Amino acid sequence: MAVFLIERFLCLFWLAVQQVCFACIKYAYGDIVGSGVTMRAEITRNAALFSLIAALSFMRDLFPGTSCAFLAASGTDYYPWGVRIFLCAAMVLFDSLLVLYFWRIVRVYKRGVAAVRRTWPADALLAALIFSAAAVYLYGSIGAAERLGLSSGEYVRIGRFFVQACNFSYIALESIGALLIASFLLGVKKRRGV
Amino acid sequence: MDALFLWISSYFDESTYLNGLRAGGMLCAAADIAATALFVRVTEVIGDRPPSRKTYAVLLLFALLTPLQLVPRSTTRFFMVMFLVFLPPYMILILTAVREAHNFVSFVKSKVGADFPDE
Repeated sequence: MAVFLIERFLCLFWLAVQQVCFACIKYAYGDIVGSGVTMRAEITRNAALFSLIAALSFMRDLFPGTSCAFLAASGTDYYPWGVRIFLCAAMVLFDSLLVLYFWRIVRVYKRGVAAVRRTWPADALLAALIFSAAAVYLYGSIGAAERLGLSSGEYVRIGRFFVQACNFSYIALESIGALLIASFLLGVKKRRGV
Repeated sequence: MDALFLWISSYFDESTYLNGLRAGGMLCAAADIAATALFVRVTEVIGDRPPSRKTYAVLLLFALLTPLQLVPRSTTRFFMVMFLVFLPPYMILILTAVREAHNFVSFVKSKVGADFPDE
């Protein structure tokens, strides 16, 4: 149980870092394209979202009995993996959004505000895709574990596989982010003649 | 689907997971520290400031500490070490993002406005 608690706190710390950066970059993009967004509003919105995610990840501790859906007839408790998969999916989403918004800023910087389009449909699609994939994996794996009669120890491996896949997604996304920042830096230096 | 989950539950053991985490942690640290250093440099170029040696020294120090992630023999300890290695670079990233957001916006706006005056 202590392991689960530590892992949740670490995930929430990383999520907080991502959300602070996301609030800054979303404010930056909004201000550049003239949508009238303020930094305070973005920080408040992200703080509210973070509180909701944190509350969901501590749902059993806050409201005992509300997470019975994860307790299977076989006696295996899937709740800790449900929470871990949810938090990993949230971290992949915010990493993706950071890269997406920075790419949008680079595009505006290179092509001008004519390149501006509505952002929420792509953001919502991305969130839907990532959380759908996580839900399919979670419920697919629980169904398979029950049908195949897997032990809780064997299910741990299935859960860890998802965490590992998310880990490699962060590496890919962060590498793309670093490349985008490098290309932006080169563009700025070129214009300034540095 | 069942065959895939059965395969994972049979072959994806603790050592495979821990080795994957170690490799991932090293690569992730490299990408994160590079991104942070590049972002700090962007804000310096925009603000016409000389490179901050202290900031780059801290980033270099923690880049050199990333192999510590290879030491832990349990996943929880691995995550604790990862947290300690990533904490200073992330703090630098957050502080830079919050402090420089307005300058960054003004810079991009001025360039976009200068190049596309009709828009």
